[in-house]
Amino acid sequence: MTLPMTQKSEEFLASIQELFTEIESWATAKGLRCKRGSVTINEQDNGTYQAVTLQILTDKDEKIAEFVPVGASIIGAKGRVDFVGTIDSVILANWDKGGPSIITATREGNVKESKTQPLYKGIEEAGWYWVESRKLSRAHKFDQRLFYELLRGVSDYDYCG
Amino acid sequence: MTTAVEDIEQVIRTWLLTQDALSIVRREVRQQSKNIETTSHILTRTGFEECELSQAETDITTCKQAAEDFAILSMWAVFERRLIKRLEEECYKMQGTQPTEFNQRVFEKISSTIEYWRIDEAIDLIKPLVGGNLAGQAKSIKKYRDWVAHRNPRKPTPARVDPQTARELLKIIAAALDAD
Repeated sequence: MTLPMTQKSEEFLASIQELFTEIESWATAKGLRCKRGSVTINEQDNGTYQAVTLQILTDKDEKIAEFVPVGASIIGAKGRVDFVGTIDSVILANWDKGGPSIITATREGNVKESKTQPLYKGIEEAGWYWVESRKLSRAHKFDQRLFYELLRGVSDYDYCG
Repeated sequence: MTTAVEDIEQVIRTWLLTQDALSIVRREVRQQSKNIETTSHILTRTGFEECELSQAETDITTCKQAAEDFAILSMWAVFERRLIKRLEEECYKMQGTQPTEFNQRVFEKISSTIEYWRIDEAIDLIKPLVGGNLAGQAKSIKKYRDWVAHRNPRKPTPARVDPQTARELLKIIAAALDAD
């Protein structure tokens, strides 16, 4: 039985469409080709649904990387897409402005105080971000420059530029 | 003795090193598959030496996933150990300065059964220390940890967490447990 899409999964799919359209333009600007596919996602909160994947190919149709949606039900995020290359892979998360935050509670005597604290630095606007594994708590907006940099990192592919 | 925060950092370092090591192997396997006359000895006397490229790549992808799963399981194990220890410490504090036999018996009974408590109930107890929001996040990580431990592909996934986010959240909670 197919359950109706939830608002969260619909928003996730819309955000992927937007992201992939941008990536397609960045990829073709470097002479790369793109090919869309699909993946089935099965989540407790959102049921089973299909999401679009995006392969990045050389001009000789050799696959060098793929963007694979992981899901809309992610702790602290609105969605996750994995950027999987021939050598490595990285995680992209869709966050609101400020990114994921936590509310910590402290108590001084009978006075209880709570304070909101962001989990990662550098999230100035809503969108897709990559968290650098080796630098503590630093997130980077996924833009054209970062796409090229990560593509090189996950695939060793040199697009000469 | 190391703190829970240090142990969580060690888990992450191990995970990152494993990812790097697997990337090196993958790069070398691909390189050697293109160049039969290679003089590289990196893969000599390993299971990759005679392995087909496609099989090696499938194996490495599986290993990378297993390493991520293991990082989540290990971080949770570190956190759960600290949580139980913290509850034991709290029980100990509740004893009188000169514990009566009754004090002592109650303390022994509680501390010997703490590790069998439902973990959600144990997390509820630390709400006054960390707040309801973080306690809720901890429960979500536990739910995902349980799914990872059994990984039944026919069952839908609960809310996922990547090792980075799990690290940040569990470190904050562990630090709050240490501080109080």
